[in-house]
Amino acid sequence: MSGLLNAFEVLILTYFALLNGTYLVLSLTAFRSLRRYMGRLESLQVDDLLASSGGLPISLVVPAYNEAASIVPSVRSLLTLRYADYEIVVVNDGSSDDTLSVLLAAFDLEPVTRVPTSQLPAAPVHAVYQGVRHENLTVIDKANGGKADALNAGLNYSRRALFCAMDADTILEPDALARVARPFMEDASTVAVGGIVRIANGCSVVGGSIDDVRLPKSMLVRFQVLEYLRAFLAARVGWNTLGATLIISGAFGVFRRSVVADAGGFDATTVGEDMELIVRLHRHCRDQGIPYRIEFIPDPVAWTEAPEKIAALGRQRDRWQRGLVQVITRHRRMIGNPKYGVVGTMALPYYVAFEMLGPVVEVAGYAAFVAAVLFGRASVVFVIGFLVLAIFLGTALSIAAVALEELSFRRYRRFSDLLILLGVALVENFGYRQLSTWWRLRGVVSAMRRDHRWGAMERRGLETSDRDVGSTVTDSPALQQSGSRPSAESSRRAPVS
Amino acid sequence: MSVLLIVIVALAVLNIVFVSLVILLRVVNGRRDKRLETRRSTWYPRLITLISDGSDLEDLRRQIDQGERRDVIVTAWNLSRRLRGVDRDRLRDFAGPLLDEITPDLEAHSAETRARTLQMVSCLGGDEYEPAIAARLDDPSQLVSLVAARALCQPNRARWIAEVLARLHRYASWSHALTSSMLANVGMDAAPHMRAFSADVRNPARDRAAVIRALELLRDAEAADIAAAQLTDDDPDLIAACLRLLAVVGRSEHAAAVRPFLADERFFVRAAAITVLGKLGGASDARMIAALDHGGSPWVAIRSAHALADLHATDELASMVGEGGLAADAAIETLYGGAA
Repeated sequence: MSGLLNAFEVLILTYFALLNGTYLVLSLTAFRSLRRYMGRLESLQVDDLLASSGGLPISLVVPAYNEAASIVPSVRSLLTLRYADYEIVVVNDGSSDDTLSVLLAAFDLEPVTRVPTSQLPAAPVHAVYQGVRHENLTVIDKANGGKADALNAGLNYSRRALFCAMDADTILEPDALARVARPFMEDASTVAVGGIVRIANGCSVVGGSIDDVRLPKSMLVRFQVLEYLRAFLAARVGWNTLGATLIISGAFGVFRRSVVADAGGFDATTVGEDMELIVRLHRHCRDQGIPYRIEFIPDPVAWTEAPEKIAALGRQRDRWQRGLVQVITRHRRMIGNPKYGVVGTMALPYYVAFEMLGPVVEVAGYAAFVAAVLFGRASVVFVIGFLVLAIFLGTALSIAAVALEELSFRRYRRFSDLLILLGVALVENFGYRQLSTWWRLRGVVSAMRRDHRWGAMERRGLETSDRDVGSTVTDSPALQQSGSRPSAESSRRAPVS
Repeated sequence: MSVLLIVIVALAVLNIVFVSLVILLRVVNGRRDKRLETRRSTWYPRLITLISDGSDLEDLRRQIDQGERRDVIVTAWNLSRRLRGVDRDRLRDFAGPLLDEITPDLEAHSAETRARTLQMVSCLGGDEYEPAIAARLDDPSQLVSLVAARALCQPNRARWIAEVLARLHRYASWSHALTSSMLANVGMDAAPHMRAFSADVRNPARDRAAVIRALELLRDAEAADIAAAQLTDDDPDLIAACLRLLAVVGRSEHAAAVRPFLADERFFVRAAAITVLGKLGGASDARMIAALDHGGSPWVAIRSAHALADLHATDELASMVGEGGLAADAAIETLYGGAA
């Protein structure tokens, strides 16, 4: 028994060292990459690039389910984006409220015949409408099928070379499309690009744009702000540098339409459709011998509202974890397979070992330490010492993420906000991290039970003026040091199954 | 146990150092921002005045403190990027003599620094800097080479087009849209070089396709014959580019060379050929297009309907409606502007 315990402790300690070593390497890689990227941004202005080339045409595909209160200002905001050639395809996904009628009334839409340009699986389309005053606005009215299904329907009716998958209540910064389109221009083999998602809670919204960036008052959301910084600026930038971007948030990602259509579109049978698509794109392109790039870039910004209630957050994290497990299970053949390059040999094994099994090992670790103390194999002082070490290490990694933000975009301009973030980096270790681990463990269990429910999401809404963007809100994308999952939007959708 | 304690203490110190660094970073960045804002708010109005009322250049330059030369150059550059013609020339006259301050950065180790400096020099520098810019076309960094190419592809710099064309292979990874729009930005003065380049089969087909696309953007009528001649090439992207150019500037005599592509197995080539015949063809082409099997391609169906509309072939469009399915929807979409 004692030998077994001893071996288990060594295993846990090795795991701990490897996990934190990986985070450290990712943070250092991200530091170097961000510095270079900021220099690149200065050396090749996006405005200049677009002024001369016009950019590639983009279809914004916006799934909407029961968004009657917010869809009109959201679409108005999208109509003001600074981009030369784009269309907006709103997909009313069988809403039971007045989403369709408010759209019809606000934008003077009329029914049209429109030829679908692909035949991706999607629930039946009842009608297609086009704006009379805004010819680049199309609304598709269809039966409810979930977010992935709605995105597929939107894709079927979109006409531009690129499409942007987003949530109805995501707020895109005016130059977000221009920025996210740049990698497609600089490298013709680019098939997908994700931008950063930031938390809008606490910020003021004027005329559909974020006017003043502030930290939210809710401690729970502050924890999430820090998590987002870690996830996007450290983990995603780091993985992207290694050529292994596995997650592009469902709240904001741009894709080459033809490649996604060839790969079969979004998978409506998983709750992690955003990550699933990216992994499948890697697989599809490698299997078909198609040269490709999938990029994450940190300057195009989409703002989203994070859950403010603990139960809602728990359901979100549970769902994200389930999505992760589903994706990894579905693409298990890629794990460790050199045919899939860094994705197969590094990224996926990392996701299995640290993101999927992480909560299991962590909880087992706590249990092992308790057992070690009970069996007299470790002193209480040692265990406490180890926990302190883990807290300091976690804090250091979080502060490193704040440092990355400070080195790059510095969105939180108030000095007080910076100090709060630094404080949150320490405080989150006492309770929040353990809760997060518990939610993720629950997600693993519900994935094993093949639970496909989205779970309900309560939204408080953003403080706005001039327009009411945030009367409902998106629950967000991907988090933890990495793992993202289905976007929020979907969480409000009626269960498909 | 003592090892654990040492590690804990080390991590605690590391955290304190990290926090201090973040705060220091904020302070340093804040000061830098403030300094730049102060200088910008001082110099921006002065430069606007320089453009509008013709202040004395030398007098204005004398007002620059040694320590603020770089910031003044950056302010002038940011303003200059938004200007054209005499206004930009005026800023160039002012900032040109200051550029010695930054030209050493053209040799900087960091590619990003070289690229940024190159942008400023190309924007604010006169003709005398053009050879230095052209030399950067061969920079080991693709970013720098790209910036150099874009700097040389300006309406007043057509004399450098041959240098850029000779290096198009370096930009093979770019999207066609970016390469083509960059080349087209030079204007019609560059068209003769571009025609010659696209007609030369020794050049890679991909590069020729990008140049053909640039000629299309310029609506260069003289390129139509060259494009028609390129249709014998095997490269589908080049063929599609040539067809698109012919749809814009082609003449009826080019239709014969295009017709065989109605049967091409690649849908995008077929769709492009249909568009060309919609512009250049006649009644017999309308009948051929109406009889085409769109092979399940919505793009071919849509282009067919548009081409028939261009040819005023209402009977054939009506027959498409009668076919039902994809063809009918495409015809209805075209006939009624999408309205059902």
